[in-house]
Order: sequence, then structure tokens, then C-alpha cells
Amino acid sequence: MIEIITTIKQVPDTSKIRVDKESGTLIRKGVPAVLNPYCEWAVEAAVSLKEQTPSTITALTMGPPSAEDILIRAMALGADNGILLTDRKFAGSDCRATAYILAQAIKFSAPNADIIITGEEAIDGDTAQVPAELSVFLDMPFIPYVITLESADDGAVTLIHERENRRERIRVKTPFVCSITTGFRTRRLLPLTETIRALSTPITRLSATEIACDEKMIGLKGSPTRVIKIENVVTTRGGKTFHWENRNERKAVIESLV
Amino acid sequence: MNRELFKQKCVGIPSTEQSETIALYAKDESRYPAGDVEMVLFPQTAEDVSTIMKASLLAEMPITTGAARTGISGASVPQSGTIMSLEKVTFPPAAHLDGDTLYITASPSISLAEIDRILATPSLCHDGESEPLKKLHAQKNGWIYPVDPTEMSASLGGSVATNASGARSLKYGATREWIRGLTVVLPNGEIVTLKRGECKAKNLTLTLNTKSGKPATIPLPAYTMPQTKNAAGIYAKPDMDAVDLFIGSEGILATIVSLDINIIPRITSFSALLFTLDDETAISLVPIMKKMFETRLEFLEFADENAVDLIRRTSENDTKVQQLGTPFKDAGALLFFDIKIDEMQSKETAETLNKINILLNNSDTNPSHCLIGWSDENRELIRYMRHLVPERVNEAVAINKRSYPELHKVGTDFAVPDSDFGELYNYSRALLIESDIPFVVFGHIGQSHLHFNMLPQTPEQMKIAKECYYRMAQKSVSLGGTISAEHGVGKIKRDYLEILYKKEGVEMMRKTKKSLDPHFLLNRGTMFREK
Ligand SMILES: Cc1cc2nc3c(=O)[nH]c(=O)nc-3n(C[C@H](O)[C@H](O)[C@H](O)COP(=O)(O)OP(=O)(O)OC[C@H]3O[C@@H](n4cnc5c(N)ncnc54)[C@H](O)[C@@H]3O)c2cc1C
Ligand SMILES: Cc1cc2nc3c(=O)[nH]c(=O)nc-3n(C[C@H](O)[C@H](O)[C@H](O)COP(=O)(O)OP(=O)(O)OC[C@H]3O[C@@H](n4cnc5c(N)ncnc54)[C@H](O)[C@@H]3O)c2cc1C
Repeated sequence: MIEIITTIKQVPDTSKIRVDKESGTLIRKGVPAVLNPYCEWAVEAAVSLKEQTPSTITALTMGPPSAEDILIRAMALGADNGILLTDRKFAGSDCRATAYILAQAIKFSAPNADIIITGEEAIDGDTAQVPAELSVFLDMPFIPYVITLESADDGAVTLIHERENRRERIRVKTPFVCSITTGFRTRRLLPLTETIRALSTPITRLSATEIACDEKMIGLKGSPTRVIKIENVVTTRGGKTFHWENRNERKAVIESLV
Repeated sequence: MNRELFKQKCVGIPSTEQSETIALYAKDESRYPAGDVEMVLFPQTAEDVSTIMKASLLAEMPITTGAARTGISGASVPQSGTIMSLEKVTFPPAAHLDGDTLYITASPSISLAEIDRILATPSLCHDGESEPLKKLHAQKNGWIYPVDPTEMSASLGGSVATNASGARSLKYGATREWIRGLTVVLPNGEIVTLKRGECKAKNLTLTLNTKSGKPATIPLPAYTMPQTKNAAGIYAKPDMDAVDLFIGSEGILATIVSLDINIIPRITSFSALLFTLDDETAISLVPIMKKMFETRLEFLEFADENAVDLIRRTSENDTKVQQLGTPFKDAGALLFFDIKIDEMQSKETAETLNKINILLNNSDTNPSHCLIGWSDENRELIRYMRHLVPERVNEAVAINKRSYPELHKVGTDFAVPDSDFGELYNYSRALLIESDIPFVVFGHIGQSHLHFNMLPQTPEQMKIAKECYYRMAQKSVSLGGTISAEHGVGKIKRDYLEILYKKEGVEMMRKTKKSLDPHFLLNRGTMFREK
């Protein structure tokens, strides 16, 4: 039995969001919260591996109590359990603090986890930092840009991941952390039976103390990054065309450029 | 007709006489053939519309009003004269308060999709601190204009002119019930603003006060309308509200230039696609679900085995359809429904889902073939599926047309009282099977209102299909139903209006029209002929 953890995040539906022109921050008021699409694909990747090899899938999220909604969606998609990390002390956590908290939770509730599957990025924070940082806190290898987890056997998983200009099929020994990139199915409708199961599965709630967080590592206090200013940067890329008739002219053009 | 005089009087209003452009505006989704058209005019304001009407009267120029042209009855297809396209009559929608009630004033050209988008997240669309805006922004989940026709690119004005209805009409009624008031331009150019409750007929005579001070006196037809949802003919009742006269009149009495619509806070619900074994199973679930969920049922729609088959055959490369997986591959028929819940994680929701589960287990339907969703994205997918049925029908017709250009879809829009649904359905099905006409059935089964779409493949089949249509129309009327529940009469169905209202009824409608438009210049040939 393979033990899979998927870390999932609740995000505002960015197709409905507006940016405050002055402060540069997102206006979240009145915007519905959804499961981050990359995280949905992370769950789907776990579910399709489970279809090949007997596995248990636990969906893990840090967020406010309302984030239970995305755990229910993850369970209806095929996750077996849901864990909600919720605590006032978590508020204000940056990427490192978030990764630390997730790592603590995994160490506490799934010390023998084989595969940690994350989304490539969250569509609101957009940093794509959490997965790599999580692998550091867990002291596991990290494979980014994974498209599919093909099969699992003998303590290793065969997967395909994307590189700059190619795709690689590799075999990775468990345990490891990987992040799922786009291209995995669309968001599907959920079978009634699975939704009923998800709604009746109790969700485990854990606090900072319960997962033995070092308070210096979490929340605002534990966050080394500070947002000083957010600017709307407009990049302009002008093009310029050069002509030459002969080698000498070409040389002159090139010299004028360097 | 005096073309030069007409043009002279309309100077300054954008227009085109280019034949390719005219061709684009001289059709709607029915593909009903147009007559010779002089030009297309693009008024921008109510005053422009008034100018055009006055010019039309002076120069005896027939005018046909068109909006988004999604109509499927040929209502906006001109027989002659000039097209008045309303797409440029625009102004930003504004929120108003009447006591505690919030309503929106909008232009006739705004699309239903745009209204939906603005209401879903009003804070995205309007900044401001006025009282109505504060109230609008205070609803976390946004608002809806509940009339929900399948074709959301339709214009607000067009949907009011045809009294459109949609999936949600099961709970919220047709367009008519959501219109508080409107401003119209009469065929003589007078502009009249009407608010519901302010101007009523005296028995069957309606008097409108106009800006010029010359009142318009309108005789109303004396027939009794069917008790079902209805979009056929002029709305008429003793002592009726003036607003109602213009709703559903298919633009033959006046042109609507501004509308006040009611809105309600968006409700929380989940949406479902239920794939059943066959038509019979799906149909048998309808009365049970209506009774079980009553007003919590936001809508209940149906697509029969033939419709599902058509989608399956034509959707091999459609990823949205393919992701529905096994339930769709194995499906016989299909039901779409939406059920109101308080929130996703509540006892009520769990109980509701369990009830459906038990119901399906008891009726030989695999509950895992009931797919549900509650995010906007999921809802979009379900809407997409609903829209796909008529769309794929139209594509199939287009293919048949390649062999025989004279072929077109013959589609019913009949609704009957719930108690007679089975009779009309079984009669129609048997008739079409016996006549060997290919057909698909889909639509608003919750309101006993299905569209039988016949897809004739040869001219002979076309003839037979029309005969079948005629017999089904007679059957619908004999059961107390209508010949058009939502699409309107237009040009395609005017011969059937007599089945519903008899010759005398149609004659009474002519009188109503003549009182406002003596020369039949506005939307000539729509709903009924001049003689
Ligand atoms: C400089 C900076 C300062 C910030 N300061 C604050 C602040 O003061 N207060 C505040 O509330 N936020 C703050 N944030 C936002 C917050 O740190 C991030 O939203 C959070 O760390 C996740 O990062 P991300 O959204 O970029 O996720 P990514 O790294 O882009 O997400 C990738 C994957 O990581 C996993 N993941 C990410 N977040 C979670 C989660 N919560 N639970 C489970 N899995 C998760 C998911 O699998 C996700 O697909 C700050 C961000 C930055 C960059
Ligand atoms: C795929 C598909 C699905 C459909 N589903 C539904 C459905 O579920 N329910 C339904 O009711 N209809 C449906 N329809 C029909 C159509 O969408 C409606 O009739 C729609 O309300 C027409 O609006 P429009 O703006 O396209 O009007 P047009 O087609 O441009 O005009 C329709 C009629 O209204 C008149 N008109 C338009 N604007 C005004 C105005 N401002 N003042 C006066 N008269 C005016 C025109 O002269 C014409 O007589 C469907 C159509 C398609 C193609």
C-alpha cells in the first residue's frame, strides 16, 4: 500500500478578481474561493496512480475553517481522508512558514508517507516556492513539473516530467516530493456517490501545538519575507530592424550594437 | 415607398447599404429566407429610433427590428424595407432602489450573458458609494436575473420581445414576471415610458399617454390565453397592465429602448447531470423529483436517447464532453437539474444527496451516473452541455441541407398542462416513429414543455415532418396547450397561430396592431400577415 499526501490550497477564483490600483493587492472581498487548479490536478494525479497500485490518499491543507470545502472536493475526486491545518497562529505565514507547517503536519500524521504531491503553483500567490521548500523540510528529493505518475513498484515510482525542451520518464525512489504541472485533465463533475462519501468522511483538524510547530517558524514572526511594495510593471519590448548590403555594412551594424 | 425621403429623414444615423453586410443582418438562427432589403440602420438612442419610426411613416418604409438574431422563428428576418438593428442602442446598466427593492435599468442590446456576468460579481463592474450600489455589493454571492434561456447571447430586448423563458422558468416563471417597466417607441415615433401598476386597460381597451399629449387608444383581443407558459400571439386580458402588452409582442407593436428588470440574490445550489438507462426512466423520475424537492428544484431539463446519441456521435474530439467519462458513454437519456441548498457542507445537503441516491437505487439508475458540481466552472460545463443539444441539432440540419438546400429543422415548442404531458409526448413520439422521421427531443420537462426537433433528410420527409408538426400542434391545443411556449411565432409559425386563436382571434390581433401601426410598417409579416 502506497501512502500519498496531496497538499492543496484554497484560492480566490482569480477569473473573478480585481487588483486594487493603488496598493497593488488583490481585492478578495466577495470573490468565491475554489480549489487551486494545480492542486486539483495533483489530486487527480494521485487518483490515477491509485487506479494502478493500491494506495491511500490524504489531502492536506492549511487555511481557514472554510477551506474544508476544498477537502470535500478532493475527497469526492478520490482522496480517502482530509486534514485541515487551521490556527490563528498560522496567519501571515509566507512560503517558508507554509512549507514548514505542511512538513510538520506530514511528520506528525503521516511519518511513513511515500509520495507528497503538490501543485506546481498557487494561482494567487504564484511563487511556486512551497513545494521545493517542503522537500527541504522533509529532507526528500524534489521533482518539479511532473505530468503523470505512471506506475509504482518496489519502492519506486515511474513518472514523466517536463524539462525546458523535452519530457523525461524517470524512476524515483520513494519517499519524494513532486509538483504537478498543467495538462492534467480538466475539472470534472463528481459522482453523486463519491460526493456523499466525501461529505460523510470526518475531516481531521490540527492546530500548531498538535503538530509541534516551533512558534518562531510560523505566522508573521516566522516569515522572513516582507512585502515592501507591489508595483504594476509594464514591460515594453521594442524591436528594431537592421539592414545591410554587404559584409562591411554588417560589421558596422554589429559594432554599433556591442 | 419613398426611399430618398426616408434616407433624407434618417441622415446622421449610422447605416449601410452594402449587400454583404445587409445579408448578415437579414437572417436569424431559423435561416428563414429574407426578402429584398434596402439598408440597415444602426440607431444609437431612443431619439434615433423615434426619428426612424417617423421617417418610416412618412416614406411608407417597412422597418424590421433585429437584435442579437438568435431567434429561431424568423421574427427578425425582413420581408422588405429597412432593417433597424438595435445593437448600438447601449448605455451602462444602472442599479436603482424602489423602497427596499433593488432593480436594474438596462439597454435593450445588452446580452443576457453580460447581465449574468455583471450581477455575479457586481463589485468588479461598478465602483461607487450610492445606496443602490452599496446594496448591490453587499450580497457576497452576487445576484441573478433568473430568466435563464439556453441561448445567453440573446439580447435583453429580444428576450423581452419574445417573452423568452428558460430552464429556471420552472421556479421563476418567464421573462414577463421580471419586467418592472419599459420605455418603448411607438410606430408613430412617440416615446412612452411605462411602469408596472401605473397604466392599466379598462376591460379590453388600453389608453397610453404619450409625451406629445396625444393619447393612443388600443383595442385588445378578447380571447382566452392558454394556462401554460406561452409566447404565441399578443398578450391580452381584461384590465391588463400596459407593460404586458409589449412583452412577447415580437416587436410588432413598438420597439423597446430601455428596460427595468428585477433581480434576486444568487442562491446556493448544486447542479447535476443525471444519465439514465433510457427515456422512460428519466421521464418517470420527473414527477417524483418535482414532488420531492418542490421549490428547491431550480430547474429540471431533459435530453432523450436520440439527443444523447447525437452528442455522442459528434463529440469525439470535444474534451469537455469526453471528460464526462463512463456515465456518458453508457447513457440512455439525460436529466439536468439544480437543487437549492443552504451550503455545501450541511446536514440538509447530505440529506438531499442521500434522498437522490435512494431514489436512483430504487429506479434502476446507477447513482454514480449522477454527476454533480457546485463551482461556477462546473455549472458552466453543465450549461455548455445543455446548449450543445440544440447546437448539434442545427449542425446536423446544416449537413442535410447540403444535399437539399430547401430542408430545415422542424421544431416544436409546445407546452401543455402537466396532467396532459404524457398524452402529448406519447402521441408525438408514436407519430414520428410511425412516419419514419428522424428526431431528437429535449427541453424543459419540468414544465411539460419539450422540443421535438425533426431532422428531415429528404424533401419528402420534410413534407411529412410538416404534416406531423401540424397534427402535434392541434393535439397540443386540444389539450389546453400552446403552439409556442417560448420561441414566439415569428414567420415560421404564423400559420399555426390560427389553430390556437382561430381566425377571429388573429383578426382581433390585427386590429390591435392597426391601432398603433395602420400601414403595418413595423415588423411586417411577423406573428401574422397583413391580411
Ligand atoms: C513575499 C511574500 C509575503 C507574503 N506574506 C503573506 C502574509 O503576510 N500573509 C499571508 O496570509 N500570506 C502571505 N503571503 C502569501 C503566502 O505566503 C502564500 O500564499 C503561501 O506561502 C503559499 O505560497 P503560494 O501561494 O505562492 O504557493 P505556491 O508555492 O505557488 O504553491 C504550490 C503548491 O504548494 C502547496 N501549497 C501552497 N500553500 C498551501 C497551503 N496553504 N496548504 C496546503 N498546500 C499549500 C500546494 O500544493 C500548491 O499547489 C506572502 C507571499 C509572499 C511571496
Ligand atoms: C441554441 C438556441 C437555444 C435557444 N434557447 C432558447 C430558450 O431556452 N428559451 C427561449 O425563450 N428562446 C430560446 N432561443 C431563441 C432565442 O434565443 C430567443 O428568442 C431570444 O429571446 C431572442 O433574442 P434576440 O436578441 O436574439 O432577438 P432577435 O432574434 O434579434 O429578435 C427576436 C424578435 O424580437 C424582436 N425584437 C428584438 N429586440 C427588440 C426590441 N428591443 N424591441 C422590440 N422588439 C425587439 C425582433 O423584431 C424579433 O421579432 C434559443 C435559440 C438558439 C439559437
